[in-house]
Amino acid sequence: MLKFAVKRILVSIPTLLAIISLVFFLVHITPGNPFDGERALSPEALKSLMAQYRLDLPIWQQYLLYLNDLIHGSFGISMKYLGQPINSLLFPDNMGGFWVTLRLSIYTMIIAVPFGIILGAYAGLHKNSWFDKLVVSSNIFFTAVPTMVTGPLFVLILAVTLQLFPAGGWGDGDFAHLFLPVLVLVLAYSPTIAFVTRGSIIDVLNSNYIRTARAKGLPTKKILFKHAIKPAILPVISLLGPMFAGILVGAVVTEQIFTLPGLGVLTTNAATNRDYNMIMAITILGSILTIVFNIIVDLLYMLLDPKIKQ
Amino acid sequence: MFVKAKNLNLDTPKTKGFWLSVFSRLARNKLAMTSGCIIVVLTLLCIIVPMFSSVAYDKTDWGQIMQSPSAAHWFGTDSLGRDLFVRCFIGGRITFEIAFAAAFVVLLVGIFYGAIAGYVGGKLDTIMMRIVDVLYGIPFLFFCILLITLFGNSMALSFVAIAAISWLDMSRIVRGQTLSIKHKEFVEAAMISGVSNFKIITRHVIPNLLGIVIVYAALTVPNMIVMSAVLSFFGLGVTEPMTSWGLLISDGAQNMQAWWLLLSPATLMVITLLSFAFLANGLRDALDPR
Amino acid sequence: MSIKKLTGLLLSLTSLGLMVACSQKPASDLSSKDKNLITVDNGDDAPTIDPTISQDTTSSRVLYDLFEGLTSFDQSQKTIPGLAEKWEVSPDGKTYTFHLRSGIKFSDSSPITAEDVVFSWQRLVDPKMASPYSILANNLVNANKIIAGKLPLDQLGVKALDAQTIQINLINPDSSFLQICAMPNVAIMSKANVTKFGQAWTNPKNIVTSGAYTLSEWIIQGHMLLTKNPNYYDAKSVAIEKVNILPIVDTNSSLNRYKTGEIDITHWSPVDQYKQLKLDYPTQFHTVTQEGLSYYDLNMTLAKFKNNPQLRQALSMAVDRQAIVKEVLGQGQIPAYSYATSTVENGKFAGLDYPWASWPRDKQIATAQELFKAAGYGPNNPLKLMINYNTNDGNKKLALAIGSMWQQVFGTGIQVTQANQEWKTFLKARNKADYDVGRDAWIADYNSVDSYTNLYQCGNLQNNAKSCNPEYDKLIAQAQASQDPEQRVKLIRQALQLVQNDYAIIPLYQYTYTRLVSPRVKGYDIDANHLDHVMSKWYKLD
Repeated sequence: MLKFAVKRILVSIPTLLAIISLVFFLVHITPGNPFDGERALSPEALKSLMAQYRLDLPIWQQYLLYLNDLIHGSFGISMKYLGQPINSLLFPDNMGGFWVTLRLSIYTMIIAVPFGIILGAYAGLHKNSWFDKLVVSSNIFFTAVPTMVTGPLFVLILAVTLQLFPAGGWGDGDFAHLFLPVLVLVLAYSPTIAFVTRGSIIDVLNSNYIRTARAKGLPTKKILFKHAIKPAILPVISLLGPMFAGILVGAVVTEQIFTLPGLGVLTTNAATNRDYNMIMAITILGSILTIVFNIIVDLLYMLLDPKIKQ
Repeated sequence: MFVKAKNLNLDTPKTKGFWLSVFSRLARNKLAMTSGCIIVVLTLLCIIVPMFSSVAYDKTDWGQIMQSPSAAHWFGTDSLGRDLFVRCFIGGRITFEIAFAAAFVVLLVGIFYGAIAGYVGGKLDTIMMRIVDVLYGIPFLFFCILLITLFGNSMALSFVAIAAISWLDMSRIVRGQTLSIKHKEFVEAAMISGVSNFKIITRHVIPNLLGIVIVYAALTVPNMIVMSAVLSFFGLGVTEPMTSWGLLISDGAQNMQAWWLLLSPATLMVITLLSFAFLANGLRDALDPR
Repeated sequence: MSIKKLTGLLLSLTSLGLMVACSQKPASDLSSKDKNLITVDNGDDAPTIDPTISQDTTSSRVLYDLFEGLTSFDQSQKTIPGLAEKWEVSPDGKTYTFHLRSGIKFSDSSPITAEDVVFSWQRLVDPKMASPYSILANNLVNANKIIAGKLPLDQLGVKALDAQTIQINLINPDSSFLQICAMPNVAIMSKANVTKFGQAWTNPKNIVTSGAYTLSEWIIQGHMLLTKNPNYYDAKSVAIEKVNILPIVDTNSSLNRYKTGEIDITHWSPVDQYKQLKLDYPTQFHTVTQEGLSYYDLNMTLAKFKNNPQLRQALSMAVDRQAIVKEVLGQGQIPAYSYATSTVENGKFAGLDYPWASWPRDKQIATAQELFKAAGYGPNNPLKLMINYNTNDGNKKLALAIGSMWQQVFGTGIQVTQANQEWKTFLKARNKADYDVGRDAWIADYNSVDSYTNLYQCGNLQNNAKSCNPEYDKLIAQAQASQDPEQRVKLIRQALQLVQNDYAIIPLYQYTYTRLVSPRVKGYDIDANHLDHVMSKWYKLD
């Protein structure tokens, strides 16, 4: 098990390096410059700034220097927030950046996972019942109505009209400030979990060994809990890894609507401002998270399904 | 050798008769058929309405700014006094184009890539999946900005951008499914009997993938529609005065006081997507009658 | 688990959620109604709070609170004493002698001396700092040579005569120099502090300020918390202890948070909801004329514009500015028919409008059509134009409206398309003159016509139309060298009249800004504030 994990981590390093290189060159050939503004800089000032950020060097030199920084644990200096190190912007001492999104996604998963699994399992066990149809339709409904709509709608009803919650901001990370963003995210993600669980339960119930168990006359409850749960949960687990990583870097719309100082907002900001170093840092962070979660998923798979061995 | 023959008979190869029976099973599913009809009607409306409407979708009327629905403007007007009814359907036309074109690319590339990786396995699988991982790491926004500055703006380019992002998920799902199909008796039997890899993939693996692929494709369409709205922000694909449902909805969500701006495109989109999903579900059940 | 149990669990979970939700206090109570805390939206995050390198209005908003210059300004933007309590100007208008207030201190209690003033000015022209605003010092003796790296910093025309007295030497007399002294870029920093921490000096842990507030917290895209500076010379009249500054970009989010009482002052408001807001908040919603001009550039590097003044005039004339300000934008903007606003320098440059501005619309259209025809375009030889703008609701509306106006006036003789671009891509294209017609705008930094006249000079970095009229440059240079204020105004008026007949840009309208101010905020005279330079020390809370 440990050997497998170590092996997987080692295998991921070339992938990560490939991502870093690809994105580095992509980002640097994208037109526009971090220092372009409504007020054009004088050529001298621009030259001096480019030199400060090493942008005057040939691109391969920039690349090597960047890798060198990374090895020393530094993501470099922000080009939007002039002079501020990326590390302290992404991981500030107090609440902000990665910590905000981390908390947001943990709360979302804590609620969405059991909620989705219970709904999905129940729907799957009663395929074609009205409840099943409701789960299927609401899944489609919430994928069709994106966060872009549910977010402002909840703000309008629950915050502006009923004045139950604040309309945005992080506050102290307290319940009131987090309720609406988490609600929006749960609605966006739990239908997918429910849908996958449902499909997987249906598949398992149709499989030969469950049929055999049934034919042998085992009680339904026992079949469910002894034989069906484990195999049915596997596809759900493989979904959760990327999903968790996805919320961590991808809750852009939700963060924007609720004006939360998280990673998503930093990402769009960095892209529109051509903050090269910030973009690189977030890409690397996102890739590492995805890789780590994929490894965790694979490990869980091994634990749950002894048939899969590497 | 007799084992092979027996197994092949057990699992019916997908033939003409198979597709006929799929269709007849589908025809019996009322929900799926209704959904199919709705899609046809909406598609026709999207073609006809902009053609025969008395006002053009881009006709601005400063005297009619932000009017709620009325007899003259069934869906109301937007902040430039343009008729929302026409805009909804011209937007629908564009949205259908985007969704179909992108979904086609995603299905084609995603299925083949995933099926090959999953079926062949080993080193090739590892390399192919690592490539997917690497492409996954590219920030979407930068990719869009780069595309538009390198190639200028065109609709075709926006399909490319959307497809380029969406096929990755599809290929992963297909690969996973292929892995499990690979170990099914009929595929193993075909392998033993010396059927070529290409034939096994196209004849046995892909047809058995269709169920999950269709359902998943129906689920990604809304994402693509939203994505096209994001692209518009970067000036890629649909740009004003042309519009799409994604754009109409994101504009409408900006100003909920003017509820009609959001209600009509959102309702149309929800109806369409529900129809697609029910049709896809019906199709899946018809393909896989267990 | 049985189905009943499952349903039960679901129900109880839901009801639990609802109960918790309902037990919450209303949001209006959640947001603190503390008399010592005001929450203000700034529209976006400040990229930096280092005065020398700051260039955005978001930075200025914070810097006016954190730092103060030799001079300062009141709510009607009149220049008043800042850290300097008085000054003398030499008869030729080229030498200013400033006297610092006695006993003034930075936020860390260290004294503010003439040396700090010299340091702050030198930092602006330091080639190593690459300040985007070093242009403010252009008129100082030796400044340009220092910026170009040809002279050492201490050759700058800013000298400490003693610990309290500073002398500044100008090349040309400048009636707006005292306004420049109040700009955030030349606000006074602590030499000891900046040299000690280097780039990290703006970190809340390190920063030392000279203004009414200090910085205690800064979370990127979260908030900035300012706390009253007890060492500020006028601390006793600073009413509010803490100022929370938010960076909300999305105007709808900002409006929502204003409605729930979380924000006391918004930065702007959603364009499409102007009329509704005016109805809903008649006393809290303010529309203020701003010292800024919105215009379209005609790309003068293209042969079709460069060699065709008639076409340029036709395009400008065909734009119905009245319809734009009344119907398309409808937020009290003022139609613009000249290259400088009628309000700048308190109306000294009013009345320069194109003569056709007052014509009836039919006559404008007819003349524009004639000019267009004379320019060689018509149904047989249609003109293809693309309007480029950066993605934004207001810009979109404007581009579509102007496009349809041209289409209506010139009919099949013109084919207009619109293209939106993301901000940085747009800037790049505009700087490289890679466009036909480009959206452009200029907001004045201070109340001086120079803000506008610079825009039209040959080779000026902001001259995005890339136009050039040597005659104009000559008149402006004469005006700048002139010691007689009346002569200066006369020459500039003459220059503007000359250059605007080149029709390289299409002036559209003078800006307004809209803002919601909570009734609990007192002391903010927003309607007099045309430059939108704001200080939190003016606010008081009920």
